[in-house]
Amino acid sequence: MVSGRLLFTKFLKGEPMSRPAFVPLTRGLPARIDGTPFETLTSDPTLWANSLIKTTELFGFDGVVVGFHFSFMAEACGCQIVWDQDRPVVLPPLSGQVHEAPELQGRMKNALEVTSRVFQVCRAERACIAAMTGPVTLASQVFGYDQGPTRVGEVKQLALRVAEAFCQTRPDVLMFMEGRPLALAELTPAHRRIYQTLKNVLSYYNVSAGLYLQGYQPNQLKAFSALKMDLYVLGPSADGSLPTIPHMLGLGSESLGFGLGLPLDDFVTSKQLIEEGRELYRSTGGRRFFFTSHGPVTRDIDLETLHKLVDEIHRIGP
Amino acid sequence: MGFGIAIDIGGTFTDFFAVGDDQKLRVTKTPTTHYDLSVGFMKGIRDLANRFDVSVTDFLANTEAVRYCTTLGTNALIERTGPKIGLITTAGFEDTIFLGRGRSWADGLSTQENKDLARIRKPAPLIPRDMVVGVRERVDSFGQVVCPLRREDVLEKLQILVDRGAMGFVVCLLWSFANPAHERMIKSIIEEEYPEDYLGSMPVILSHEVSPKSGEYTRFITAIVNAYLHGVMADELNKLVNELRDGGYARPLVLVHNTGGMKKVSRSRAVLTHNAGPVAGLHGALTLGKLYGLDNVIFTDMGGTSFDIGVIDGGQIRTYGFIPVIDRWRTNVSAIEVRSIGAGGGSIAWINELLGKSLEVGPQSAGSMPGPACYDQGGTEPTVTDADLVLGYLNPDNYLGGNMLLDPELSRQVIEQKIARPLGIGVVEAADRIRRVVDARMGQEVFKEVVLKGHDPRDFVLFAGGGAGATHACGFAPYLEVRKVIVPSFSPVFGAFGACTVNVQQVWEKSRTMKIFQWATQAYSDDVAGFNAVVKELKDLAVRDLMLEGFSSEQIQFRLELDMRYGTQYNLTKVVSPFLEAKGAQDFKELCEKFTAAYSATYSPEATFPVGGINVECFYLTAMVQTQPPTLNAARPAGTEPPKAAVREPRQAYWAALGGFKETPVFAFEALEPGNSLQGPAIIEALDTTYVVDPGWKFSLDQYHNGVLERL
Repeated sequence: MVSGRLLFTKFLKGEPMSRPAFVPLTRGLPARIDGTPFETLTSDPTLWANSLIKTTELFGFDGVVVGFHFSFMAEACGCQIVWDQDRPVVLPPLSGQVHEAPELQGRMKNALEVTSRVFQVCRAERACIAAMTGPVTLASQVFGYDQGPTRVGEVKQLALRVAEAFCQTRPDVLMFMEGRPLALAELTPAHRRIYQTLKNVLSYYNVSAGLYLQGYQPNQLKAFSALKMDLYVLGPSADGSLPTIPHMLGLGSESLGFGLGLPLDDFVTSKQLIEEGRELYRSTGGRRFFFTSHGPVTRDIDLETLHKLVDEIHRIGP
Repeated sequence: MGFGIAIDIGGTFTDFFAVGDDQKLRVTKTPTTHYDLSVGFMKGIRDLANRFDVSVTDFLANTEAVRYCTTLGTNALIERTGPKIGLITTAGFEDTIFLGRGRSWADGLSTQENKDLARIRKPAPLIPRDMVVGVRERVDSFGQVVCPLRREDVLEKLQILVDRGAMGFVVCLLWSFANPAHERMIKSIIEEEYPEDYLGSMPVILSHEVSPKSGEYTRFITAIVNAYLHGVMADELNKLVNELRDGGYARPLVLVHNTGGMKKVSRSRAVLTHNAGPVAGLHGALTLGKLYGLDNVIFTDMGGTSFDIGVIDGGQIRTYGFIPVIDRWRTNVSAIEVRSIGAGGGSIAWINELLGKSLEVGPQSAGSMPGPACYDQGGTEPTVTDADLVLGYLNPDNYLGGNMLLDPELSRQVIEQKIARPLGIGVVEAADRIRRVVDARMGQEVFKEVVLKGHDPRDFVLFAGGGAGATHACGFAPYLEVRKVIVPSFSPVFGAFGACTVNVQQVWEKSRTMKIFQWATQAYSDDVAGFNAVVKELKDLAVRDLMLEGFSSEQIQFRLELDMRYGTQYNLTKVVSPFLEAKGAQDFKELCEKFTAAYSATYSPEATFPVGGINVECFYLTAMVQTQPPTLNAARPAGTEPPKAAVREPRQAYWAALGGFKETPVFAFEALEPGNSLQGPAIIEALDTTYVVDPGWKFSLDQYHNGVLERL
């Protein structure tokens, strides 16, 4: 059986895959599998790393995603976090001083440790994807929603430090997560510049740059292709609609491709999307997309459904 | 089609030079990926394959040799990330490496650092004191065993080191170069106790094998540095070889040595790879000098991190007159002398508050990550490249052939913030000062290097290599008063080109004192047999080694060099022996005359002292199999006027001599034809470098497609 790593490597090289890879954006699922609160899990790198590896192997995912939570970076920069029903909520803006070395702070430090351990174990068999908050959303978390988009330059060094720290764990892709502050803003030269700098750093480390966007207006998606990322993944839109394949194709026309998000709690819709993916697989000659989750995979997911969807994806082939 | 590839890893860029069967040359540069050198290495291979228009698999499968100048071990030394090693030495000499020499705290430091007596410290030892044990044994200076080695003693001391976590051993005994029996015995005991088929097997390095020379401190240190680098390099090189094998390459990787030769990885000592890149560059300059019929050449290479200087005098490359230092450690390898200072395109400009806000450049470099600010990788320090960009010399859209886009605004910002504002001057003036400071530093270093060796720089032709060499040659050449500078078309990868010109070669050496002119009788020695026995011993070793590399004894050429001195004197002078095997006293007479001539040239004829007797102290036998360097074909000269295709859009560039920014003609190097000539100010953009022709200079392209800068 072909490994997830090989599939994803082919995706990154623009070569035909024997089937599309499936790399869901794991967040709370490992806590569920381990029977541990998310707060406890993320405060213990050993537990967190073991749990992520176990979860990935249990479901046979083709890749492992680490760091997919907006709160890690905000907390590392000094923002206050409150836990609400085992979910960390960021309280912007920052009241005190920004931490100058976020990669050494709080759960971000743990996330980096986990990334390093998990990738060492999984690298031979699975794609390795790290995720961190994008600079525009981070600026909004740190300086407040109103000021964020205009003060993005002030978080540049923070984002660079963490991006470089993630790059040193040698991921295949580093995905920048952006929410409404970027999704609903007009893309400015300052946004493009900071992303260019981040991409330059990633290029030095031979890491592909990904953009995860949520809270966007579907009809304005095309504008984000100006960021020229290597790959795009869409989460929930502002109106809650699912992204369509033409939208995704338009977004990633100059990129390596995109992640087609499946609403994993909705078997029927996901199956329908898998069918559309099957068609796309045929029309693209097995290139330019992989399956992922529509937004993060939380602890509330139905495990049986997830197993079935993995089986469905594994049945796709030339 | 067959290819030859040479790779030189630098602090900022990794340089690639390749030549095909058709003698067409291709070069490329990739940022040095310090986190994993194989990433940048393989990226460069892919770029070269593209430039030859073949697939990577075909390219590697048809490659006859990959020659590699590596700096893999240097970081391990600086960061002390090498393995935990145990040192076994003669009882009573356990502190030799800690006592060091009188001035060992100064070894490897710049003159500036040497003056800072308040801060200067001895380096942290590579082997901590608790990992050193002494065994009872003694061999005298004639090689006679005075106190035999006891197996029980060795086992007991071995156990102490193993219990303390030793992962390998260095065995350095007194006078082992005269009689290595005890060192060999210790090795066999270790191998019996920890055989190779056990997971706990341990590498054992014997000092007489790495450095069979007198002087226990340098011999011990050479063996220790070799052991320290060995493990780190073996792992990294294996990884690299595997990547090449996976890519289709089927031959051995060849390492260039700092002695000016090259050997397969499997037959190379780690300590011989240090500083191989600059040495390869100097070898390239020698080859190119021969092509031009030049005996006296000053070789310079301005890269991103360092500026290397070498001298070719009378068509010869010299080995170190003194003992070469690796990091902070004095060794006694017979390395070729190339001096490096921290000045390159990535050198950081800073203000020295302690010296009344004087502007300084280097030795710190922005390296490849984050690099100069204009690379837009998060760099926040102003560098020489930033200054060159602000002054209009570099094209932001055509750096590295357009593979890296530069951001001039970022350069302006950091120069403004870190230099211009604190000095109360404008950004352009600050950039110009950065450029002038770095040019002056380089010019003065080259001047010192040449003049202090007793040469007049005006008798030399300057070769300017390195990615920034063509950009700064007109800036530092005036300090030497040389009138001609040759900047080869492959100057950005000069070290890699040089690697293509080195021969398969190694130096075998042995300390042995022989009084070939006796002070007591004032007569030449008749101990021809003793002299020839040493040469034969070295020759046998060389032939055996090179035959294992696949060469026949007929292909091997030998050169014998001798460390000689007057009786009662300390300093040694290296002399090339006019013969390999002595036939009688007449040969010794000839050798003594050669020594006197060499000594006179170095210390003046008045200093000679033959009545004190003349001794040979060390034998160096260089065994070499010549390889064919790349051929540079001469083209017929075209007219002096550059063709229209070479003319690009002019741009504003700063010329202090002309009073500021002036519209400056810009040319494309690749479109120029041999014979074309143009006067400064002018800018010539090549794929991987930019020629800056200052006012008062003339640029012409010669028959080999190399740039020649001449002062008018």
